[in-house]
This record gives sequence, C-alpha cells and structure tokens, in this order.
Amino acid sequence: MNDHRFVAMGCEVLVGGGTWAERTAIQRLFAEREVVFSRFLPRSELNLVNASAGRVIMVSPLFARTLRVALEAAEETEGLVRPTLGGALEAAGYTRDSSVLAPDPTPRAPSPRSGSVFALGRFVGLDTGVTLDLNGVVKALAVDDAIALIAGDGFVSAGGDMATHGELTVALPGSGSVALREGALATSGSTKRWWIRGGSVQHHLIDPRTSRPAQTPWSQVTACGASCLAADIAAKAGFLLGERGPTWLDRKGIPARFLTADDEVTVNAAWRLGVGEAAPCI
Amino acid sequence: MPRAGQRRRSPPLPKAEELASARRRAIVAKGVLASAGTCVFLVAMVFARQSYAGHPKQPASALAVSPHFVRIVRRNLLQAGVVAPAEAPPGATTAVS
Repeated sequence: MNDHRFVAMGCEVLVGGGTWAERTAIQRLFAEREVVFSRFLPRSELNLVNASAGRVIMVSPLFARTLRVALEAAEETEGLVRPTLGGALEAAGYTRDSSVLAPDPTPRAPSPRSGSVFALGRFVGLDTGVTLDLNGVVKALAVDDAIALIAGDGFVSAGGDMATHGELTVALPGSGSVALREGALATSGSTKRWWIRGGSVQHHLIDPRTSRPAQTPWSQVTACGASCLAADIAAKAGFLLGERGPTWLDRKGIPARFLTADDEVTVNAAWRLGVGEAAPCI
Repeated sequence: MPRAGQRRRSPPLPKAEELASARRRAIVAKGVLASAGTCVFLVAMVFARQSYAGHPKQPASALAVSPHFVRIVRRNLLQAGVVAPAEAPPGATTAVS
C-alpha cells in the first residue's frame, strides 16, 4: 500500500492507499482546516470569531458545521468535551505550539469565567470572555472527511487518530497491537502536549469542572468508534473522567484501553469483548 | 270524434299569458337543472378528492426528518467501531498527538 506523509495541525499525517489525486485532495483538506481553525494563526477564522465575542456574526459553512459538531459532542459527553475552554488553555499557558513552549515561572493565570455560545445556522455569538477552541473535534473531523475521499481500501492517520477502509493492524501505546476491522481508533493523553508553567506541569486536556488540566490516573486513552470523531471524543471523555472512564465508556458500548504513566494497561468490558485481555496481542 | 271528411279543427291558440307562464317555467326548469348539475359536479369532485389516493388531502409540505428521530441520532454520536485480536504486523500506530 502506498504511503503519503505530510505535516499538518502540528502532527504528522499518514495516508495509506488511495490514488495520487485522492492523496493530494487529503493534503489540501488538512491545509484548509489548519488555516481556519488554528489557534496560533492570528488571521484564522477561529481567532476572528473569538475576537468578536459579545456580538453575533456570520461564519463560514465549515466553521458552522464544526461548531455544531463540537456542541453536539458537549451534549453527548455531559459537557466534558466542550468547545469553550480556549480561555482555560490560555490561562494554563498554551499560547503557542507546545513543542516551542519554554518553561514559564509565571504563576498560572486565573481561569476565565464560563459563558455560553449561541449558534443558529451560520450565525454565531459568544458571550463576552468566552474563547472557543475547536481542536477537540477538528482533527478527528478532518480524518473522517479525508477517509471519505479514498474510494478503495486505505487509511488516514493524523498523529495517531485514524480511520480506515478495510482491516488495519494498529500498534497501541505502550505495547501490543489490535486489528481495527471497522471504524476508527483515537488516542488522547497528556504525554505529548505538555509544558511547565509556574513550576508545575500543564497539559492541553482541560477538565471543565475545574478549568484546569485534568488530574487523572491515565496517561493515554485509546478508544474505538464508528468514526474518528466518535473515537476521539470517547478517548477524551475517558481520559477526563479518570477512574470512572472505563465504566462510562462501557455504558456507551465503546471499546477503550487505558494506559497509566507506569505503562499499566486497563481495558474496559467492550474492549475485552472484541480483543481479549489487556495482554499484548503480538 | 270528428267524422270522416270533416275538417280537423286546430286547438285554439294559447293566450299570451299562458305563453309567458310557460316560458317562465321553462327558464326556471333550466336554471334548476343547471344548478343541480353544477352541485352534483362539485359534490362529485369533493368526494373524488377525498377518496382517490392520488389527490393530496392536505396542502403538500416538504419531506423532513422528524425532530424525534434527529434527537435519537444525535444521542448516538458516540457509536462503537469494531476491534479484534491482531493477526498481522502493525501497518500504523495510534498514539497521543
């Protein structure tokens, strides 16, 4: 299977299979999404919308669709994975790509007050002080849209969030591998996007209950969903819920695998049903 | 009975009033017939609209998904994929990005 690699959204994107035209279309799709949704590009549509807090404005169809999906994800996860935590991320010091963030001795800024989002079709309004961060769903949606561009067998992996047409064997965090027969796999955790602010480690997965980086026993959570969006939302929710994560995802029927910082693996009942025990498969 | 060879006498001409009365009755009869025909046609048309399957009985409206169905589908945003034990070397890796 032909592989095509490129960098987008701060991670490596790997496209397996597909024709040259399909791979080119996928690369263009990721580039477009980055321009619209990056927090680090001053003229991105996301930043323009955030600068318009307190007013109702008209956004692009792509932005409106993504925001609608993010709000649905918030509803589905009882508010755990929500798009209004951009201010909390900035308060934690995530103002640039985490790979270039130097340790900052400044104490963590106070968390911004919470607020709501108005979205009706292409009209969007943010409460004053609310900052959107749609990256919780943007990458997964891009993977889902990208795999739809491949007509035959193939897969798309964006920094490890992947969707496939046809069965694919996937190496798991820590050790082991699994056969992804249908749908998508996504992994969320605190081992890559982290930095030091005020003498303590911060990461990008904000717990909306505290508006601070989540304190959880897991370092990485892998979930399997019907789409990459479902897998990514499930993995984030499982991470944020801590010890309640496996049970919560079992209630949704989502197979998930939880890895601690000591490389101890826990799997939920749905994962065990499909794959077996937590022991490495290969 | 007139006898043979006797010339048949025509009936006396109606009076002008009788002619006018007959014309009025004819006009009324024509009106009644036309009204009855119109009524029968309209009633038949209404019955046809109500009973024939091809006629819309309510104003036509665009087909749309019911809100109830939309709510259920939305609630199912988190749907599971299918994983199984690996039987081949990994072709890709999932990891935190």
